Formats: sequence, structure tokens, C-alpha cells
Amino acid sequence: MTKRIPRLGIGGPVGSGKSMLIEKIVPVLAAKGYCISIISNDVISKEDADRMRKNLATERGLMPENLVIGIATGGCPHTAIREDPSINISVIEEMEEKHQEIDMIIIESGGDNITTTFSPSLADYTIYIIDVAGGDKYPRKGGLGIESCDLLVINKIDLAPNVGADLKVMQNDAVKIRKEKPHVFVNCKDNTGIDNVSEHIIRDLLFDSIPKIHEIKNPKES
Amino acid sequence: MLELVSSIGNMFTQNGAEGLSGKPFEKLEISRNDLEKNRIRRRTDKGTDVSIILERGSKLNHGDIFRHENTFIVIYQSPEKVITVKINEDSFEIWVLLGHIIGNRHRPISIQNKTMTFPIQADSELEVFEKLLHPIIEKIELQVEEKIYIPDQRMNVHEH
Repeated sequence: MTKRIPRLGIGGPVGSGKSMLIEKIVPVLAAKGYCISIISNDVISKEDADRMRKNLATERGLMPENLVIGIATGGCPHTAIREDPSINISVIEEMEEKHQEIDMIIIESGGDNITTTFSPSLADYTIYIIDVAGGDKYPRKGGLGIESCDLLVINKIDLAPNVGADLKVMQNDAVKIRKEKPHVFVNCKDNTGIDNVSEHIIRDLLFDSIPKIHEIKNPKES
Repeated sequence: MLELVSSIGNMFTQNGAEGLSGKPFEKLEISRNDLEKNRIRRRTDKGTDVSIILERGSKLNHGDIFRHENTFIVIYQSPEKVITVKINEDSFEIWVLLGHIIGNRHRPISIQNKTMTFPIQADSELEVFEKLLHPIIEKIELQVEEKIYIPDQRMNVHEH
């Protein structure tokens, strides 16, 4: 029987730090023995996938190069994770068949705005990431992405003083609009909050996975 | 953490109701969207830490019963805001316009007794739909409710 690999969806506006967040949490999870694969959705470019492959696989050897896949959706990428996720699901099913060693697949996709969500048939656990540069009103404006995700990540907190954003306001609004669902303040530049995000993923998505140290083949050989 | 993998019935069926009769159970409240997930971890109303892993393609339902030794856990779908549209005049124009306008907003719908119901995120959407449905507003009634919403499976899409 083909192994079902847990799937993490990461969505958020362009420039909010989705790829950077992945580049920060993969090393933390890899150090704990988890083998991660990444699927990056974009309109016509595969730049983010290429960057993550170079950074995480080629240069740091944290994962095989062939486990970072770029999908050019040709249209709004959010449609490929919600209305018709078939292209992502077909890639994932192929990964499940060929790579039994994978512990988690990350599906990254940008969206047009705060309504980006993942089809529950595609992602088991979802993170929506915003950044403080959008203003401290962001969490209270709500929207499906912010309200329905399993974990809200608020990035670039170091910029708050520079853009007049009050983190306490964002904190209170996030609690009010998401009720008991968690949120984490993050600064991907200095790793603030990254361990916290990783702990949420392990606890709420990888709860039945036993971390194991994988022998990563030389990416050039795979 | 209690690990649950398959339900033993549904409390809204005769067999399920009889099987659960008189037994204490814990409620696990889950949103409509999350009912479609195959892998979740939550706490029940009694604070029990529970994980559920289902086969791909299967989903949870309001009323599903799980058993772990002597502990019974029942899935409760969270209530949500919806708009109910009551049709006062049976006309082709009304049905086509309603289908076009609601469908264009990617909302799942349910139809019962000449009423259509679809989910909304906030009360403020009532004003939006009143404007969108302006050409037929005199022939329909719109009402915001909060309820456990179960869409018609033929018309269950993921709204945004």
C-alpha cells in the first residue's frame, strides 16, 4: 500500500515570506530527522523552487535536489490549490509512489489576497503568512486565508517600528478573529519564532511520524 | 493522544443512535471545511487530545461516532453564518439569476422547499448580496442565520 505522506500547505500574499519561511523550517525539521519535499506553485516562473533547491539541497545538502519541484500553473496559482488541485495531487501521488522516505510534503502557493485557502483534499494542515509591512490592520480584516488556516504566521516583526505597526494590536486582533486557533510572530531574518512554527507542525501534522535520520544521497547522483 | 482511524457509525442513523444510547460521550467540534481533511489533531470538549487519520477520499460527517476502548467521541460540525434565500415567485429568471450570481462567487449551496442556502463569512455580506440580487430582490427574501450547514454534495465547492 502506498504511504500517505502528510501535506503542509503554505499560502500568503506575494512578498510575505513564504519561501523564506520554508527555507527556515526545513533545516529545523531536517535536524530532527524528517525528510521533506517541497512543491512550489507560481504563475509562469519557477524562481522560488530554483532558489529553495539551490539553498536547501545543492548548497546545504538538507534534501535531495529532486525533492524540490516547481509548478508553473499558467494561471492564478491559488486556483491550483483550491478549485482544481489536480495538478498538485498528481505530483504528490507520484512522490508517494516513488519516495517512501518522505515524511512531509510542503505545498507553497501565492495568492491574490487574503482569501487564499487550500482545498482540504490537497493539504492536511495549512499556514497562512502575512507580514507587518501590510499594516497592523491586516489580521482584523479577516478573510478566509487568515481565519481558516491552522496556523497564522505574522512575519517581518522587525519592521514594525519602521512602518508604524503595533504588534499588540495585531496580537489582540488575531486572537479575536481566530478565536482558539494559534498564531506566531516571526522574523525569518533572525529566526525569531521559527522553532515555534516547527513545533506546531510536528505536533499538529506529524503527530504519528517518528523522526528518523535519513541518509541523503548526493544530490548529483539522484 | 487518542488515535482514531475509522468511525463506528453516525448518531443520526438508527443504528448509531442505538449504539450510543445511554453512553457518555465527548464532543469534538470541527468546522465544515476541516471535516473534509483526512488528518487532524484536536481537543474534545472534555480536553481529550485526539488525532484522526482517515483514508484519502473519505471525510468526516456531523454525528460520526468514534470509539477508543471505553471512550466514545462524537463529531459535531461547527455552526456557521449562512444566507437563506426564499423564493416568492416561481420563475425561470429568478432561478437562473440566483444560480449565476451565487455560482460566480464559488459558494456551495443547498436547496430545500424552494429555499436556497449558502455560507457567508460576515453579516456585512447580506448588503452585498442584496445589491447583486437587486433585479429580483422584490421576488425573494434574504435572511442571515447561524446553523450547521450541510451543502448539497453535487454543489459543494470551496468558496473564497
